[in-house]
Amino acid sequence: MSGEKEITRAVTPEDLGDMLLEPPRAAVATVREGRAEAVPVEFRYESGRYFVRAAAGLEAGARAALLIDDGCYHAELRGISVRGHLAAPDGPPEGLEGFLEVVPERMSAWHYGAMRKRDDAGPR
Amino acid sequence: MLDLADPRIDRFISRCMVVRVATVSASGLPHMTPLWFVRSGGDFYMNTRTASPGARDIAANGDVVLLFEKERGRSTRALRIRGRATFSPGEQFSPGILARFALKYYLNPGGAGDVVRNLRTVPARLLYYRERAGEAGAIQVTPETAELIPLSAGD
Repeated sequence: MSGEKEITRAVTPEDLGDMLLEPPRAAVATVREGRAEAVPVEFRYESGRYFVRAAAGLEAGARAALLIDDGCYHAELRGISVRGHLAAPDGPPEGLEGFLEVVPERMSAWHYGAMRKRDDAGPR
Repeated sequence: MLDLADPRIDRFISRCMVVRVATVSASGLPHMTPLWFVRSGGDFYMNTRTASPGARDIAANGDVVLLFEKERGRSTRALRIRGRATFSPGEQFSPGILARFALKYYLNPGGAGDVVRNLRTVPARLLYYRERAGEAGAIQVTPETAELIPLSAGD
């Protein structure tokens, strides 16, 4: 079989816009003293920016992996991964006091219910 | 911290379908992956591609955090379990573990209904996994600590 796979589950974060506005579940992974850490977070998407707040365990400057995901069964499974670092936002948007911004460096999104051939138009 | 034998752990997990697995790469970067899981003999079992960041991270550093939130039922808490993970490329689960996965994710009204509602995607799904045959492996996580934590700052 060739290296390029014919079927993909990849979508864009914008394809999952409903999850950005009403995230079913969101969590952030960080690293502390070489060990994995993870906390559930409140997530807000504002003007193309990603904001998170947790009860504890998040610090500005830390490398972070934000995961927003949804679904239980196969075709329902979808998610957005934002990897980057946490930053204290300059002048946070109204209502987001106490939130940190996830500044993205790498992003990916997937939807198992939107599996299709790579040359198809995209999620229906 | 909860005692690992605390029945609240099993009760909580029984309402969960997806676990979020936090890992650390060989270069010290965090990653988080949502995976289906089953529990057997106290350990957690998951399946992922050998080339996935999570699998590579576990191969380099077995320290993981498992984060559970109830998809069924309301809760103001998440269950966080820290543990040691191993990744075995190409390993097949035992028949008992496979049966647990089948019962949990397919052989029930929710799982079967998901397949029926999405019959048009079955050919693509079958091809997707056939294209990736032999590229998956088994994750096994042995818990070390468990705790219930607030879902948000307001909880």
